[in-house]
Amino acid sequence: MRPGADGRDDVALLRSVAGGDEEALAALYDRHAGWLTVRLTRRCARPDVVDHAVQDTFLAVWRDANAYRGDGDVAAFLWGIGIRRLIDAIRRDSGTKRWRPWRSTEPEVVVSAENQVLVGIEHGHLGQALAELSPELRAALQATVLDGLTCAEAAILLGVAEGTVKSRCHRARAALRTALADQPRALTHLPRNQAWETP
Amino acid sequence: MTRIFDPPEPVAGANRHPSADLLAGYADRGIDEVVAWSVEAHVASCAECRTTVSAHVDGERLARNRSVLLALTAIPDGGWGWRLAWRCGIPDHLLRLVAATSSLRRSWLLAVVGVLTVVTGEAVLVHHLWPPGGVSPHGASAAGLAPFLLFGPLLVLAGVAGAFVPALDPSYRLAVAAPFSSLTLLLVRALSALVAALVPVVCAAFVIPGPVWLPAALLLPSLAVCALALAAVTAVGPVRAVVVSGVLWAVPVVLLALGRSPLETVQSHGQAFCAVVLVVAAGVVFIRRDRLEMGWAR
Repeated sequence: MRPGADGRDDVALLRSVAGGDEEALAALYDRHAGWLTVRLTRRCARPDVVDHAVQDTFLAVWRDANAYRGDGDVAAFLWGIGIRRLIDAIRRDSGTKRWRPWRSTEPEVVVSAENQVLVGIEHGHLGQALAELSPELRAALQATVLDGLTCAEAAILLGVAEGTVKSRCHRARAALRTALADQPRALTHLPRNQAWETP
Repeated sequence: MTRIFDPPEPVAGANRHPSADLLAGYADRGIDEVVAWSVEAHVASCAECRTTVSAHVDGERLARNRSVLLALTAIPDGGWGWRLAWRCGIPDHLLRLVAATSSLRRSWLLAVVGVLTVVTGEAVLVHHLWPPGGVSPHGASAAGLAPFLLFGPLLVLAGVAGAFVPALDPSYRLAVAAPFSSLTLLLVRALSALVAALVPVVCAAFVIPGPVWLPAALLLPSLAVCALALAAVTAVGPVRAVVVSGVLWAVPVVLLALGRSPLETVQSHGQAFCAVVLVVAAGVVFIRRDRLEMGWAR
């Protein structure tokens, strides 16, 4: 490996990848493949499908690194490709063939307001309301709201019909509204959580 | 549901990090879903915590994916033919693996053409140089055809073997690591190799001095020998399977050639026998396809 290849920042690495630098791709992979694998595994429990999605993600970066417009976090850019590659991998794995454009354009992913709200969500009323949702409803909410997927994409990820995703999201929203309106329940006595620490 | 809530605790900002336990729980799916959402939202925007999370992933798995990735980048895009196949819905990873089959490489195909040129040349020479009025009117050119009859199906078999014998396959590890049915991959590669080898063999059969039905007559034996090898792979190792089916073809051809009637291997009785072998072998492959799924990767 070239000395200092790891020292370059993500944007510089992406630029080198666009120039056909394999070492930069390897460095980018070493830096981001781990957490991407973890994050995708939380959406899909099958390691083979996740591995394929991770490979596809970096392969897409290799072939079209210019898709990165130079604004925004590289990790968010990779995640935006990764989640859609995962859906592609699931779709392929389940045998559904679809026509895809020769170079599929990846939608730009920005750090959303939801993400800001989510940090520390388990400490709030919304956190408890979410915890009380059934896992299916939470998964539907995660796919559509957090991951920003369309209902069709979420349906592939969750392995259910598109209509089911819509109805689950609807039910989840209704349940959250009810739970949040029900203040006394949200304020029940709970133990302190020391899990978050200051550096 | 066991949940830990702490409403008075301030929401963690950019200057606060989840504890190592929490990050480990996130990586190992050990923590509650809602806590995980929170941790994930932080990890998404914190390079430091991403590094911590990454450390929880199996290093061997990451290294394997890395080598697959780098191998895939090293394989160039095939030209328009590749794009056409891709457009038709064939996944690109499959195309890349097919393109990486050693028996579909230019050097391999050149070798096939080389062997065919030699055996065809031999047959042509024998046809022209054999003293007229020999043993039988047909015997002369028929005897010259023996090497071609021997090598034609064997070349096709060698091409198919290139699709599944690990020793012949530089992309073997890649194929094993590829996260999809190895049976599909094996069959697609074998079929591509079969077609790629059959085309020059059949073309040579047109050129060679012999009966007009010779090109068509070679199809069934070639298919039967390859199907036999695939069927044998479900029971024995790939190398042994190829050698056994190759020998099973070579022995009758050589014996009949010594008996001065090599063409009998591809005449009615030979064809019928090949058809039976093909059907039986295809049946074995179908019934024992589960063994093939893992078997060829030994």
